[in-house]
Amino acid sequence: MFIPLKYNIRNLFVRRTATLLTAFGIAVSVAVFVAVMALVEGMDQTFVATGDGRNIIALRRGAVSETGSIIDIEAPLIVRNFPGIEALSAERLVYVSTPRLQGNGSSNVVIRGLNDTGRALRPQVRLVRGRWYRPGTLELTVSRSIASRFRACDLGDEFPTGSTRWKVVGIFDAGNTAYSSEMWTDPDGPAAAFQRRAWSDIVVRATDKAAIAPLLHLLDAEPRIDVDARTEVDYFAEQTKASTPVRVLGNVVAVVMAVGSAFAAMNTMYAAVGARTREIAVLRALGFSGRAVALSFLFEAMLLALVGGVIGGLAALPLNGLATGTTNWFTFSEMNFAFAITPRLFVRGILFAIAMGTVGGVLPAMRASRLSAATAMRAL
Amino acid sequence: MSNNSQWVPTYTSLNVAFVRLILKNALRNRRRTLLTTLSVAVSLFLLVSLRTLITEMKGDTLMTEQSGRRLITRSAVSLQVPLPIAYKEKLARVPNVDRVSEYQWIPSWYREPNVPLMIIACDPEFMGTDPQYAIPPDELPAFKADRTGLIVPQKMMNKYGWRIGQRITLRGSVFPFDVEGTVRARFTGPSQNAIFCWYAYFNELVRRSIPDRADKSMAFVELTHTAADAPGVASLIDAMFTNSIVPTRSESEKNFVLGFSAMLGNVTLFISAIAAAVVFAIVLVTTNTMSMAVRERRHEIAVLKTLGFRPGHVVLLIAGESLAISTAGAILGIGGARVFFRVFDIYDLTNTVIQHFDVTEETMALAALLALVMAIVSSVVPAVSAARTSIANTLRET
Repeated sequence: MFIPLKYNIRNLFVRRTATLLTAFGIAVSVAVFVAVMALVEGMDQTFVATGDGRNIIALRRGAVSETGSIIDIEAPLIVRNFPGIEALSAERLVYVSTPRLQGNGSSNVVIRGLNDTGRALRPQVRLVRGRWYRPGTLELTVSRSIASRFRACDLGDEFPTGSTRWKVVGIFDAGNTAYSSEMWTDPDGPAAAFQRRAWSDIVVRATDKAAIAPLLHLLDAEPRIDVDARTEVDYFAEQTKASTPVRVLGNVVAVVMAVGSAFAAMNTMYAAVGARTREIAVLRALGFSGRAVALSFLFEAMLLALVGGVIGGLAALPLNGLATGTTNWFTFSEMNFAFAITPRLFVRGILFAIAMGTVGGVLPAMRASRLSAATAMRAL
Repeated sequence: MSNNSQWVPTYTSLNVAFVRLILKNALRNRRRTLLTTLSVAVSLFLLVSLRTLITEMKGDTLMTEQSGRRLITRSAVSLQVPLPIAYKEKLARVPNVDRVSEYQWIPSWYREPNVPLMIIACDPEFMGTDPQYAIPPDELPAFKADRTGLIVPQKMMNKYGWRIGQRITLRGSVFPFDVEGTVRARFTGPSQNAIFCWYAYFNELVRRSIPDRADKSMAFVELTHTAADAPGVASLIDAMFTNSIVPTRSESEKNFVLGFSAMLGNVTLFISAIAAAVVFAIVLVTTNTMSMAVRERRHEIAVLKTLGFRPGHVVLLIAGESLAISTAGAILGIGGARVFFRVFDIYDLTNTVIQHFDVTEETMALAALLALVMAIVSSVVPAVSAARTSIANTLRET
C-alpha cells in the first residue's frame, strides 16, 4: 500500500522555506543547462536547416569547410560532363574582417560569389529589399542579420574591402540557415577584389536521389581533380561539430552544478526525515511498510526537484529566439543563429532536475525506511 | 548582565571559547556540514574554472617578455588576402625594426583528418630569438641547415610520439599539397600549438601546385628593438601601405590573439552569466543549511539568550558557522581547482583545443573573497531570525 501523494505535497508546503530554497537551487542548475543547450540547439538547427538532400558539395580533399578549400579553375569544366547532374555552381568564398555594430571587435563575414544557378540551388534564400547584384559589378546583396549586425552592410551602404568599394544593393532573408550569415555577389567579384582565381567549392544538384551515390563516387575517383564530395546534408551535419566546445562546456557546468544541487537536496531531505521521525513512526504503526515510507520520501524529493526544474526551464525561456552570433571555427567566419528552446530541451531540463532530486533523495529515503516504529516513537 | 562571566563573550574580545562553540555547532550535524561544504566546494571549483577560462581567453598567459616587441602585419581586409613577398624588404627597412619573418599558416592534419594541426612557415633565422621559447642549442642549427626541417612543440612530440630526425608527412587541408619534413628541433614555451617550417620550402610547394599564390605570405612578424617602439612602428607600417595593392593592419601579438577571442562574440558575458548563476546557487544552499540549523536550535538559542547572550552574539554565532563551512568549502574547491589543473594537463584533456589553463593567484584570491561575501550574505536571514528569537515564547513551545 502506498502513502497518498497528498501527504508529500502538503509537507512541501509546510516546510516552505526549505522547499523554495532547495527548488531554486535546482532551478538555477536547470536554467544554466537549458540556456547553454539552447545555444547548442540554435547552432545545430541552423546547420541542419541549411543542407539540401539533392545537393552535393565538392571541396578540396582534406578541407573542412568551403572557405578553407581551393579548387582548380578547370575543375568545373571536367565535372560538368558527369552524368546525373541537373545544375552546377562553382563558387568563390572569401571572408572579410568586418567591425560589429554593437560592442567592439570584428568578425570575419563571408562574401560568397555565385551566379544565378547557384542562387537557384538555395531556394531558402529570398530577396526582401532592393535587388540582386548584377554580374560584372562590385555589388552585394546581404543577408538581413548581417545587415543589422555589422557596420556598412545595410542597403545603400558602401562596404569597403581595402581599395575596393562594394555597393550594397539588396537584402535577402535566408531564414534559419547558414546563408543568413553571408553576403552574396557575382563569382567575378571576389576574383577581382581579392585576386582569387581558384574556386572554393563546386555545388552540384543531382537529377534525382538515385544519381547521388554514383556522382559522389565519380567525383571522388576522378584523378584530374583532387576533391572530396559529400551531400550538403552530410557537410552541414559535420559542421554541427562547431558547437562541440559549447556543448562540452554546458555539460561540464551542468554536471558540476547538479552535484552541488543534489547535495543540497540531500540536506533538505535528511532534515525532512529528521523532523518527521514521529510521523514516520505513526505511518509505520498504521501499517505502511518501510518500502512505502522510502518511496514516499523519494517521491517527495523528486516532486521538489520537479518544481525546481519547471521554474528553471521557465526562467530560461525568455532566451528562446534571441539572436546572437559567434565564430564557426570550421569556416573561420561569423555565424548568426538564435537560441532555441525546443519542447524536447525543456523536457530534458526537467528530467535533469528529477535526476538531481532522485540522487539527493535516495539516501534520506533509505534512512527513513530503516526507522522502526518502536525506536522512532521513543526518539521523541 | 554577565559581561564578566567567562562564558559570555564581549564584542571586543571574541574569546577562544566562543570560536570553539561555533566549530562545535558546525560539527554537530556532521553529515549536513559535510554535504554543504562539498556543495560549496564543487561550486567554487566551477567558479574558479570559469574565471580561468575568461582570463585564458585574453591570452595573457601565452605572452612572453618579447611579445611586446613583436608585431604582426597582415591584410587589413582579410587573412585570406596574402601580402606580396616584396613587403618583407620594405618592412625590414622601417626604423626600429630588428628583423622580419614571413608568417604563413598551413592548416594540416596528421593521420587523423579531423584533428587539425597547424604549421607556420617562417624565416628560419627568426627562430630561437625568444629565450622563453627554448630550443635545445644543438637542435637549432640543424633546423636552420635543413630546408625541409621542422621545429615541433615538445607537447606535440609527446602526443604523436615523434623523435628528432624522424621524417613525417603532414597532410594539407587548405593548400593542395602535403608538407613532408624532418623533425630537427623541439621547443617549449607558453604557446605550443604549431609546428614551424621554412617559408622558402612552403613557397616552393606553392609554386609547384598553385603558381598564382606563390611569393606571398599571409602575414609578416616584425621584431622591434624595444617594446616602446612597437606602437609607432605599427602605425608607420600601415601608413606606408595605405595605397598599396594590399593595405595592411599591424598590431601587437597580444592584440592579434585578442582579435580571435573577440570573434567569438559575447563569450565573456555568457560565461559571467553562468558564474553569477553559480554564485546564486551557493548562496541558496548555504542559506538553506543555516536556516535548518537555526530552526533545529531555536530552543537552545533561547537558552543562550537566557544565559546573557545578546542578539549580536547570536548573529555572530550563526554567521561564524556559515563562515566556517564556507572556509572549508573554499579550501577544498579553490585549492582543489588549482591542484586539479596542475596535475591534469588541459592540453591533453581537451585534445589540444585549450593549450593552457593556469589558475592564477589572483583568481584564487578573488574566489576566496567571494566565498567570504557569500558566507555572510547567506547567514543574514537565518542569523537575524535567530537573534529575534523570543526567550519566553520559544521556551514555552515544548
